[in-house]
Amino acid sequence: MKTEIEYLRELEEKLMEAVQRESRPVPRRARPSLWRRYRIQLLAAGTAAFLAVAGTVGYFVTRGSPAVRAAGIQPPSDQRSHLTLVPSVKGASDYAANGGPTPAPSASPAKAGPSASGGPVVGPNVIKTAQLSIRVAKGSFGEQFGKATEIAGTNGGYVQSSTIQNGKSDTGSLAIRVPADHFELALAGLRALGHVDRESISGEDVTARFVDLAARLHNAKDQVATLRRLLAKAPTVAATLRVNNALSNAQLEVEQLQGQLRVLANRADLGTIQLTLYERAPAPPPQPTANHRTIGGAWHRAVHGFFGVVYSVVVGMGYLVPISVLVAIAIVLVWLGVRRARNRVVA
Amino acid sequence: MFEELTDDELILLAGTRAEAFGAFYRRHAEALLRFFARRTFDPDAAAELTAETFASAFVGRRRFAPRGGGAEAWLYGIARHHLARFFRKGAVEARARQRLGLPEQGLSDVDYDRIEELYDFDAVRRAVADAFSVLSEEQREAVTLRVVEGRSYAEVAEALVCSEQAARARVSRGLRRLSGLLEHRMSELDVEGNAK
Repeated sequence: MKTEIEYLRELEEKLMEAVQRESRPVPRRARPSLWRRYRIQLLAAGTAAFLAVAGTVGYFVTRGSPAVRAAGIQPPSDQRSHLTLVPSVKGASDYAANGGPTPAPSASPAKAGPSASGGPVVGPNVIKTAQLSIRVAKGSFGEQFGKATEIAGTNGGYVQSSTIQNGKSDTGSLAIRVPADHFELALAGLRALGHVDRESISGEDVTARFVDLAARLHNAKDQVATLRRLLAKAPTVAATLRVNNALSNAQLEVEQLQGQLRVLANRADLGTIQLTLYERAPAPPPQPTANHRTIGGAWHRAVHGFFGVVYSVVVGMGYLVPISVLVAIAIVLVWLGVRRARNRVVA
Repeated sequence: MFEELTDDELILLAGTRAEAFGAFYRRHAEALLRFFARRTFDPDAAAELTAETFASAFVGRRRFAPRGGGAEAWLYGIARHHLARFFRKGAVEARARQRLGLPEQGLSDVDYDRIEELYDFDAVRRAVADAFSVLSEEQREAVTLRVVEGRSYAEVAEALVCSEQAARARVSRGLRRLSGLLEHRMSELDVEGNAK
């Protein structure tokens, strides 16, 4: 173009300068990586995802635990060493296989009694108690309740007390006393009545108390015999009265000790089984109504919920952290391998 | 060598070769200046619009796709866009020029006269007269009273013996028709001017 307009010629020059400037290849700046650009966001998202997964894992792992049922703020239940919370039906199957109770070998505790040397001979004495919660099939409550009573009888025991509550679901409880040597058999029979929801067995060894009482009884009897001999030889009325008083006290002590031994022997001879039968899971304990639908109640639930979530997250992290470490190690190894292979190719 | 290439090829080459864009500029600069001059009747605005249009074309050269009317139509599309913005805002944009770092430049008196020559007043006058003659008698009267003589709508209505609303309608329809006729005629004049 051969224009006569100076403006267009100048514009062409300036435009071409600018165009040259723009067209010059400019070293392209390396675009910052995704990690550099969104480091904080990625870290926050990763942490949030990890905690969410940990919480989910923790929830599923601890779903059935009492701690979670109580919104995670209760420590694991205060089980004593003798409590068995895991139901076992092994005994029940044994019982069923045997077709009922069978006489057990002589396992009854030895009674306190004089030995050949005159001292008391005492075998192991244990007071056994058990608590059973058994869920029976729908509609079979009456039948199973009767069977429980029957089991008490066939094992040489008896039903000390029983209560039945009829309602939407029948519930009943029995206090059964059975001889110590039939205690386990009776338990096995009772377990076969239904599904054992809860079972606890405890034993208290009272052998030392037996030995102590027997020894004291032996001494008291010796004292009575001695006092009787002295009474026969008393020279004066005053002496006779004094010896008679001492004899009365000694005889009273003998009777007291004999009574204590009888009670103890009875408890050791007969185990106690507290049996609860019901047709379905007992209703959860009623929540305190004072906080129901109130700000305080809401706050209480919120705090419980908060600690429940924290509990689940902490438990889940216990599972996830070791797994994450292993995964991280695997990723690093793979990355190193890939890098080495790439370097080899480049070389 | 670039003179033999088509407009489309020049714009496509402009992505890597600055000289190609220079050839494209030389081919269309004066025509584009005339295009703006005949529509704005303002040499300063026409010069600025020309610079801004070419700057925009270079900035957006990578968005050009050789289809439709080709690079020339693409350039005039940009030009119409800037022209519309100029009429709407009353000022020429300088965004593309600033991005390219193009300094402002004024028009010399000589350039001013030369750009006015591009108007080709005789041709424009004839075009306006022709367009006016196409209007109806009522519309021509209304437009003359309102636009040429600058009377109020009340006075126009009184002169035409009609309501003020009817006077407004006649002026509006007349201007719209005039605008269409002149735009068509101006395009013809652009083509004739480019051919010369």
